Amino acid sequence: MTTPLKSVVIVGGGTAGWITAGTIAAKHHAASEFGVKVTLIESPDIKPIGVGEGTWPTMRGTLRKMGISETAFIRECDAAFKQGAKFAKWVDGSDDDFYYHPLVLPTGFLKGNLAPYWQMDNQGKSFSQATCFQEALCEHGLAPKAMTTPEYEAVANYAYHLNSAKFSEFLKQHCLTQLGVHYVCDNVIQINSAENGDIASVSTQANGDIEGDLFVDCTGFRSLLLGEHFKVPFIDKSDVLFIDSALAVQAPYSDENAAIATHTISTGQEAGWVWDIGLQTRRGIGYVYSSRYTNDERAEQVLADYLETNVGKGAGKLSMRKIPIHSGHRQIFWKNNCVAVGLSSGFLEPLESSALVLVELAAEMISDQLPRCREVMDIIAKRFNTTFLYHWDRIIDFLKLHYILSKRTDNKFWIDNRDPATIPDSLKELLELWRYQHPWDHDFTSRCEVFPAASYQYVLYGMGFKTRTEHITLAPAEVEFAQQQLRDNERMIQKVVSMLPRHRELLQKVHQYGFQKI
Amino acid sequence: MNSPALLSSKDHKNLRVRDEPLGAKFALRNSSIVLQEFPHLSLEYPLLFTKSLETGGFVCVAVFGFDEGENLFVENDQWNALYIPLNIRRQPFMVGTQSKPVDGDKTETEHVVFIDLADPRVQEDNGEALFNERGFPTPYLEKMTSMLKVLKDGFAETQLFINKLLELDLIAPTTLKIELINQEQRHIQGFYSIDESKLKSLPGETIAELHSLNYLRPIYTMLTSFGHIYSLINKKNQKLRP
Repeated sequence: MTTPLKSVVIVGGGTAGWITAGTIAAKHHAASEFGVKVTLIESPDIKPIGVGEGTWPTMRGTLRKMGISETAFIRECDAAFKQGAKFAKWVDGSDDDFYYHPLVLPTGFLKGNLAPYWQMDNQGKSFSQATCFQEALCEHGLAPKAMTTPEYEAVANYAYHLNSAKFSEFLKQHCLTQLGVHYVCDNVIQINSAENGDIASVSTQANGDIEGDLFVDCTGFRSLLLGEHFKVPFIDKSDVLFIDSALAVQAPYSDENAAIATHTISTGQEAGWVWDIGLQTRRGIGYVYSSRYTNDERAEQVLADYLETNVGKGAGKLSMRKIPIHSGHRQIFWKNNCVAVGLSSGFLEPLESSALVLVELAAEMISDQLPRCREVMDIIAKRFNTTFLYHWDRIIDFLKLHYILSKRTDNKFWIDNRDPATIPDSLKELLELWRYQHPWDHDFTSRCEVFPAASYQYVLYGMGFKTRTEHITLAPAEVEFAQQQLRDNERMIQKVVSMLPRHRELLQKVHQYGFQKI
Repeated sequence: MNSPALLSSKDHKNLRVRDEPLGAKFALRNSSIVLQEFPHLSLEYPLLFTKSLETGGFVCVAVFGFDEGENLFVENDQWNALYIPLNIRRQPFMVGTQSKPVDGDKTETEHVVFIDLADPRVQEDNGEALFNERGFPTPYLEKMTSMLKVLKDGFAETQLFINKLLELDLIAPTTLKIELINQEQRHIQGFYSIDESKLKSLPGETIAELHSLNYLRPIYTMLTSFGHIYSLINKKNQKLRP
């Protein structure tokens, strides 16, 4: 006799909890009598940590699958469009030091690799300028789509910047009113085991024991189920990624019509970097740093200086909130009938907005592979663990890449980051490979890479990495292909710059009119 | 001077509108239309939907050409058609709104007539006068004003029609691939039409509802009018012939 999976219990709200609840509930018809029952228990006393205001383009698919209207999402979550990241002062710290990691793939990427040709004949253009039209949109402050573009569709691939507290509340309302998620507002006080070591139920203060077939741990840094109950060890990665603290502020716009940046701006500092993202009504700005290379007082000064220069006089006095960052992840993420999603599974500095995308990937895999019965759960758990260990390792490699390509020498933070002892072997191997060949799809093995070869190209060549070209001879057809692509990109830049509206203007119109579904 | 300007018998007493062929001014690919004109329009024009660049919202349009600014009905400034859409004929006048104060702090929006002073037909020398000696509207202006009223009410009514179609998921992008005599293949984008297969699969009670709203006739008029795309292609080919 088998034990069918009928009920999923999610412990913890926040974006991780509600994305997981919504994704499972929508796919498995939680609102109908034949569907899987989805229950979310949220503590009335714990406030969500509120990290992760930047997303990946995957969020569009995640929202659409939950049946959410993009117009409602943008109106209610203070959301804005994000078309990638601009990295300033990461290479040598000078004023004109910047490069882009846009979300649109290099032109013709699905047909051929432009990096070799660009490196041999770039005519003074950076890799992202020459191969991608999106940088021009970002520099001009233009939106990635027009009012005539249907919801979730793009002229230029995009993600979002959002207010995570509002986003959480918005998802909650959608899950409860549209998707049939059961809601229990209570504190979990005890975890009750079954004979096989599974979690049989969780005890709550006022609502008794809540049973389930699968428990999802969305309890944040506390990791109540996976960490505290199952004692799955935490793998610390602070030897690779040195950032361990963040100071965050909410900064106002100079006036209600001020331009809204349509990309994340990440500016290298003496012992870390400052993030700067534009929402509709405010900017979210913060300094992430390594306390091994600076102290809190000095960090506050660095952030205050950034605010005075980039927000306005007096902005340095905005109140700062300190958030600790423990870089690393759990050894495994799914144990018995418990899987961790979000901060309970691990956390990394927000350099490439990997937090929410990992939540989405986890929610999607759990939902797609949702075990039909207990008998197959261990197989799925094993696969889930392999997949997510791979994701974490690749993300860590990708984040570290930003640091090791820097040439900054102004603080030991930057110098020590390039110490080979701090670089994972997998990344060393890739870099060795890329000294002779340009990154391409087969360098990676997962079906859904968080960062595709294109992302590595943007960062490597944006930061001045040189792949040796003396062994490369391009065939005339390859040269012709590359030249054609670069010309097409030029034309595309002219076209989109003349056609697309300003970012703030589009957001205002979304409020006024909304997007069409088709 | 502002253009368009709120029409007033004081400021615009001496203005006249010259009677010129409409074709000269209207290098347009399409123009907004209202339900009442469908029977007239459907004799010659493909009737489709497009999106307003400003709001992204759907509007019903009569199609005149394939490229931006291409009006295949116009030749030597003459608009060769049995019927020209109201939204073209109403010019140089247009409807605008202004808020007028009513008791105390409250305001209400009222519809008013604007005139496009930048339209070259608008001048003081010849053509139809707008106001008579005593400052009252001439029969010409009365006629234009009532046309504007028909249009204003018509747009509101047409919007309800579009909303109903959207609600029923009946509007879909039109795949328009045309091949011209010079073998040029063109993919025309930005037009939408009624999804006939979805229409066919609607349950009886929904069809009955559409019938009671008097929407079935415009739906089928739009579907049938699509055939005029071929006469447009024909017109375009004739222009391409050496």
